Amino acid sequence: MIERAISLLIISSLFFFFLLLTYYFRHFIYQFLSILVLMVLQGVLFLYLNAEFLAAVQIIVYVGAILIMFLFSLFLFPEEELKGIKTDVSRISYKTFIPIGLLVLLLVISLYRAVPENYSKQEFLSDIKVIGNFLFNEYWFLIYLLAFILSLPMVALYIFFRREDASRNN
Amino acid sequence: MALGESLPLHLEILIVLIKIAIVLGVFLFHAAYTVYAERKILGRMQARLGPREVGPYGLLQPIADLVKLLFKEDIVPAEAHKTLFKIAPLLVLTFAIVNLSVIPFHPSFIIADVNLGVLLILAFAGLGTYGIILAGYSSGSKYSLLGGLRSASQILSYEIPLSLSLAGVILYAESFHLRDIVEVQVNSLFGINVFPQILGFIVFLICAFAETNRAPFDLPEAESELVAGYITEYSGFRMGLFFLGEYISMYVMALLISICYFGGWAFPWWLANALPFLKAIPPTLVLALKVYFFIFLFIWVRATFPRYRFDQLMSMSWKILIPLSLINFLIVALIKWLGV
Repeated sequence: MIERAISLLIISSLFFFFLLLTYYFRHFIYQFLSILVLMVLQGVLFLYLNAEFLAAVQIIVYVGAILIMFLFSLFLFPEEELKGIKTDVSRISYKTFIPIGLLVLLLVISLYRAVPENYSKQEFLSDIKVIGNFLFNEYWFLIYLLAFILSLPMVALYIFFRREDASRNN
Repeated sequence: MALGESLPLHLEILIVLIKIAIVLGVFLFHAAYTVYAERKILGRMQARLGPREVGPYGLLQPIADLVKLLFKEDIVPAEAHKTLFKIAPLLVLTFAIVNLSVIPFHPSFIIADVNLGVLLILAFAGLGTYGIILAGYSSGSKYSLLGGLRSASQILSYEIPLSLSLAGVILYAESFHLRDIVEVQVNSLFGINVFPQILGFIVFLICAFAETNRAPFDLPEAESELVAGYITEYSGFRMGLFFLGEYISMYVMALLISICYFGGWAFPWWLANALPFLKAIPPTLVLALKVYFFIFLFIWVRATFPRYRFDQLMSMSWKILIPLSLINFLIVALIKWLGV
């Protein structure tokens, strides 16, 4: 088990490192490349959890298709607009943290209820199938609720941009 | 050591390293001499002689080319993103070579015996695209950038029919493992997959040309429109790395076609029964002969077909190849349902 623990530590350190790099870089393309590595690392994490199929699909669909389209759209911008990106923290609204807060709350509730006795703890930490079974059997309502909450920012973003367009037209 | 007992870890690692060395050596040699073969064959097809000055019959030409590429000045443009510019050719080459690790060259010779071989090849093909796109962007030239953009849209469009045509093969074999795919098709009624899945084979073949940026789909590096596309600003050994990646990708595609549609290292049972002496040919040689044929086809097509226009390229993928590959998938499903 020690090898698995070490590999998990390495993967999570890399995750953290590249996550920081997305903030550190001041160029859109380099930020994008950090996200690309994060996506590949997610595939590696799936491999760690014995979900080889999911890992391959993660790389083929997200890294091989969706992110390429992302990059494609970035190339349409002039070079001057891609560099010199600065994160303006003051523009982040407190409402952004509502879904994150709810997510943390759900996690706390989950931890409070803990893993039932009929699930082996060893398998629970290393096998994504067991985690999947557990989540869908025990927490299906919370998962649907979470999915609904996470879809809210997307809807909000859409409304936000529509309003901006409308104000521009006026 | 008793039979069935696993080897110590250091021995296993040593065996894998030896396998990697063999495969790399063979494929790098093949890539170099495929350039020679291409120049010779193209020469003959265009009523020329091809290379014949360096060594007997021009056989040392690849070595002369290599020496020239290694000693040329390595120019990095002032406008370029230097790190990306240097990494991009390595990405192309690495992801082309990594594909070879999951391909079986013999029933018992494979570097990484993984269950999801086909999916891994598709995944690495997707990652290799980044090398081309980033080369285009990092060069700081409009020609290169347009070459990179064309490559992105081309590979995105052709990956879908390629994967769908492979889905038919996977469904027929009920496995992602390339060795299982060979075994299932050799023992099937048809002997090879190309008969029941002729549509899938045609789609795969066309997509193989597009995925490797070969003529008639070499739009990302169309000489007459974009100078040399994403390679425009590259020189010396970095340019050589791109070409090496392209030729190794050609071999990967030829290997995949041979394994998925032509029975890999085996002959179909009806041919082996009709000509029993074929069973004496070593399996790797059988696979190599099939691969050489498809490499010849790659060169033949380059000499024969004119380049497609970009809109033709796109409409071919989305309007023709994707529906065809879906029809192929339905046919395979029907065959499986009938239990043939």
